[in-house]
This record gives sequence, structure tokens and C-alpha cells, in this order.
Amino acid sequence: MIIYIASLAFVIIGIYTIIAKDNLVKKVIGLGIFTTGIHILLIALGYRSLGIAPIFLSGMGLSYFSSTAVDPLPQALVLTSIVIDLSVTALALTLIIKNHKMTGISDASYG
Amino acid sequence: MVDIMSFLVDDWVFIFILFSAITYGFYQFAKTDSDVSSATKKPYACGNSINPDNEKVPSQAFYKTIVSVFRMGVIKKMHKDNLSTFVLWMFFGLVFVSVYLLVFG
Amino acid sequence: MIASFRKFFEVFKMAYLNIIVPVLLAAVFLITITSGRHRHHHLMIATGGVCLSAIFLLLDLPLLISDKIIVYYQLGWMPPLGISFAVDFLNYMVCILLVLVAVASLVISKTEIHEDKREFYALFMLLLLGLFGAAMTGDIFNLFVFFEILSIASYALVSYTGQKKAIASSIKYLIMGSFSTSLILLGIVFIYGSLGTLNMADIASKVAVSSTAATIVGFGLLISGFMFKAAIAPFHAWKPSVIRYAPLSLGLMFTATGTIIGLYTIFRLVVTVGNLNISGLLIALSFLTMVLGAVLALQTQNLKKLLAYSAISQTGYVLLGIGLYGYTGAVYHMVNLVIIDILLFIVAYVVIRHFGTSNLDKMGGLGFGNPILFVSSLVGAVALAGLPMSNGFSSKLLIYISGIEVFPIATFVAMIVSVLTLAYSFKMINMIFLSNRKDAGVVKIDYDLKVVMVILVILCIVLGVFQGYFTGLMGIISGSGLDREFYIKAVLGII
Repeated sequence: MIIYIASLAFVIIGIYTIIAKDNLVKKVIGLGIFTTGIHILLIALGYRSLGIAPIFLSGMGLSYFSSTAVDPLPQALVLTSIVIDLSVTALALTLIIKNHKMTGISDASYG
Repeated sequence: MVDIMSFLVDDWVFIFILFSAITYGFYQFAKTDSDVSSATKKPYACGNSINPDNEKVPSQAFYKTIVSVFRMGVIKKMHKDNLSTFVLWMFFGLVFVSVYLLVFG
Repeated sequence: MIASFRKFFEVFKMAYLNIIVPVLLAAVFLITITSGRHRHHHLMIATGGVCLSAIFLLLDLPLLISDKIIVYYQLGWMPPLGISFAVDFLNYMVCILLVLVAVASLVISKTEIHEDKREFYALFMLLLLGLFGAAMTGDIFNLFVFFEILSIASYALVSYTGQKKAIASSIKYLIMGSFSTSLILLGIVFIYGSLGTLNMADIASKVAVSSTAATIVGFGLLISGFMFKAAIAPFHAWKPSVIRYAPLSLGLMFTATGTIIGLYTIFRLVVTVGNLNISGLLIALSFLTMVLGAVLALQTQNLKKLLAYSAISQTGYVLLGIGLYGYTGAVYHMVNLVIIDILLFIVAYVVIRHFGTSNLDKMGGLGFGNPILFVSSLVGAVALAGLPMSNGFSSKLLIYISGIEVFPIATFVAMIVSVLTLAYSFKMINMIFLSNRKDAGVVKIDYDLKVVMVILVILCIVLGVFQGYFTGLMGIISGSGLDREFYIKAVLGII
């Protein structure tokens, strides 16, 4: 349960940072916190206490496997999403640095 | 043949073409009578003559009354490029959509 | 003969979707491998990629007509496990529209883009790849991935000119856009957590039985994420500044394709997958969108911004059509909107290139020596406002009729906004073509732009006059989105 609350807190802190902070770098950090919260939630969905890795070995029975293996799909989704998040962050920071070099400003509130 | 045409083209098309033709007829009829000289072509300017360079109307002058009566300028002022405001709108929209779906969906 | 023809397409069925996407990928690789020295080939490679995918798209048409839906299972895994692609008439129409927009955008970019063509076309092709994938996929996480591809490509493309304002608007678009795609991801998490599946057809079959509050919130998050792409009212703020500072070919691409893909995904999610009863929400948001767009377009001084606001305003009509259960009118208006958008953007490109500015106050007097330009922008303005004999009229008529049946106030508001549309579109015509009595000379229009303009004007009039025929066609297209049972059975492989 606590992990759901933690992920919700991450999401809310992230959204708050994007909305309330004026600095563009802080906004990008807020985006990172937001997506991290979603990732934690996604991982928590597939979690199973005392679960085994979702690899089907020949010795296992199917019922044993299905009752103990963790859900592999959320991990694949999180991996994809992390890569996407990384590239978005890299692009954002590049643009912000370029903007700062050209104008000397890194605030969101200018025209 | 009529069936195919009525399948392809609706009645209002025929009516529109008919009335366009009638209007064009009126226009031709009226044109033969009138004598348009270059003097009447001048823009109406309360008796003053206007330099052609000053004839241009700025785009802000269009629908000025409507804009001022209905206070449309307020909406334009809200759309200053402030990122935080925009994200806040998105957040409100998200909350609105989610709440609506939870209550009525 | 027919049997062998049919067999040929059966062989192609397993590979056809893997054809469309790699064509674009091949174009991207070619563009990235070629160096800046062969700058004349870049446009050729890009156009070749688009044309090849258009040809493959057309080759699929006989199979689509006979089967009503083409489903492709990635690597042969059946739906609840693997990723599936499903193309019915709705998806097919969306793909055709995307090809149309891409071709028009490439035609504009031919003379607009001068340096660094390689990067431009590489990113452009990536954008198109994302659009095609999002239009054809049958899996919501795959939809998210394609949305991210097209979003990242468009963030980079906005800052393409390298000017201060362009980079600033690109940053804004990026932060708002990744906020919205994060919302999509969160919605997917909610739906996966409550239903345990990612396939659209599987969700559609499970949503009636085991839907919880989490599923509903998930749908809400997804819809808000897609509304950002379509620029529906509270999520519309990115559009004006992005279109103002990006090149016009990209402005056309973002406006038209964003509208297409956003509205298509909303249609698919609300009608086919979720079967949600949210017409009140859609009507409320469409009122906001229509009125906001029209009011802002009335006041703006900038031609590019005027086009952006008018696109926002017209998007509201399509959403209104979906909200009023007038799906035929909604699909019809979407097609018309894309055609009008392309026409007006080409006119705007020619005009802005002539005057060297996009400020309406510094224009005027083009209406004396440019019949093609004047007629095409007049047809565009008339169609935008929905006057009779234009395509805008026939689709708006359908939306009005469905409004009178369901919720008459909606028709009233839509008509008021139509009047405002007439007002601002004729303000645009006046400022560009008449305003100044002095003759501003003859504008040099490239041959290919002229051809595209004439074709689009003819399309506008044909779609307006032969309303009965096209209403039937759009009825078939929207009907394929409405037929949930068939979609579920076909994608899950039950038939």
C-alpha cells in the first residue's frame, strides 16, 4: 500500500513542480519526478512478494509458475518508458542550454 | 437519371444554383442602367479626399465594437506566453475530464 | 484470375504493415547516411518514401473492401499477448489524410527549407512514422510509443529555424507535450492495473464486464492526453506559438496531423474501445474550443496565428459531432478540415513569402493580378465558414442536424461560431487581397504549388456539391468505428 501512496506523492510533487516553479530546468526536473512516480506505480502493479523471475523452466509446473512468477509486462513497459523519458530530458536540456546561451534567460515566464 | 442525380446531389444545390442564376440576372439588369464614373468610385470620406496610401484599415479596427462589447480582449490577455499558466490549464482540464468521467461515466 | 489476385494479397497480408513502416524507416536511414553534399536528393528520398507508402496503402484497398478489417499480429502472437495492428475503414481514411498532408507539406518545404535539409527530412520522416504507427496500431502502449516518437520529432522540428522565439516555443511545446504524454502513460497504467490487458479490442470486450473507477480514471487521463494533440480547449495553448515560429510546412504538418490523429484516437477510445457515455463533456469542451478559437482569431494581427486559431476553432466542430452522436458529420468535417487547412496554409505560404512578413497589417492589394491565389483563398474562406456549395457546408449541416435531434443549444452555438468564422476569414481575405487599393503586383507561384491549389479547390467544391454520395461514404467509414462487436471479434481472432 505504501508504495502506491509514494508513487502518488511523486506524481503530485512532479505536477506541482511543473506548474509552480518558474525556472525551466526545475520544470524538467518536475517532469522527471512525475514520470518516475508513474514508473514506480507501474512496477508496483507487477510486484508479487516472494515472486520468482518470469522465466518458464522445464521442471516447473504451469500452475506453480503462474502463481509465483511476477508479471513481466510492466517491466518491459517501464524499460521503454525510461528510454523515452531519457531522450525527452536530453532534448529539453539541450534546448534550454541553447536558449540560455542566446538570451541569457532560463525562466518560463518571458514572452 | 433523376434518381441518380438526387442520390448524388441534394435539393439545396439545385435551389442554390437557381437563386444564383436569378441574382446574376438581376445584377446584369441593374448594370446596364447605371453609369459608373470614376468619381462615384471614390471611397466615402465625409467630404474629404483621401490619399490612397492612407486608405488601409488596420486589422485591429475590424469588429472593434464586438470585441469591446463582449470583452473579448480579456481572453487575448490570458494567452500571454506563460508556460506555467498553460500547464495549469491543462491540469484543470485533466481534473475536469476525470471528475466528469467518475461522476457521469 | 480474381482468385490468384486474391491469393497475392493473402500472401501480402502478413507483411503489408511491415511494409509501410520500414519504407519510412528506410527513408530515414537513407537521409541520415547521405551527407550534406547531395542536398538535392534529400527531398527526393523523402518524397519517394511517402509515395511508396501511399502505393502500398492503395494496394491494400481491395483486401480491406473484401475483409472490412485487416488485422496483423506482430510475430504471430495472438492479441492478449502480442502487439496487433488493426486497420479498418476509419484507420484507412486517417492514413490517406496523413499521406495527403505529408505530400502537401513536402511540396511547401521544397522552396521553404534552404539549409540542413538532411536533418529536416529525417525528423519529418520520423514524425510521419509516428503518425502512421499511431493511426494503425491496436495496442494502447504501442500507441503511446508512437505518440512519443511523433512528439519528440515535432519538438525538435519546432526549433528547426534556430531563432530565439522558435527555441522558446519549442521548449514550451516540449514541457506541455511531455506532460500530456505522461498523462497518457498514467492512463495506460490505470487501465492495465484494472483490466490486465493492453490490447484495444481486449479492453473493449472487458470494459463492460469488469470496469472499475480506476478504469474510468484511466480513460479520462488517456482522453486528456490525446486532447492535447488535437488542441481541444484547455489543452490548446501550444498551438499558436508553435505555428507562429515554425516554418509553414511544419505548421501545416502540426496543425493538420495533430488534429487528425488526436481526434481519431479520441473517436476510437470513446466510441469503439471504451463505449463511454461522455457526450456532455465533449459538448462542453467543444463549445469552449470553438468559441475560444473564433474569438482569438477575430483579434489577432498575424496570419499564421489566425490560421492556428481557426484550426483550433474548427476542431471543436468535430468534437461536437462526436459528442452529439453525429459520427458521420464528425468524420466528414475532419476530412474537410484537413483539405481546407492545406489550402489555406499554401495560400499563406505564398503570401508570406511575397511580403516577407506574417503581419496582416503590412499586407494588401494582392487581389488584382493573382486570380488563382485569390480564388483559392476565397474558396478556402467560404469553406471554412461553411457557406453553401462548399465542403464545409455539407459537413456542418450534418452536425447541425444531429444537434437539433439531440441538443438544440449546440446547433445554436455552432451557428454563432460559424458567423464568427465568416467574420475572421473575410477579415483575412480583406487584409491580404483588398485592403490597400494599390496593386501589390503579381505573386510568383511555383508550378507544383499551383497544381496542388487547383486540385484542393476542386476537391472543396466536389465534396460540397456531391453531398449525398460523400455522406454515404463517410457513413461507411464512421460505421466501421461504431461496430464494436465486429472489431472485437476480428482483432481477437474469434471470426
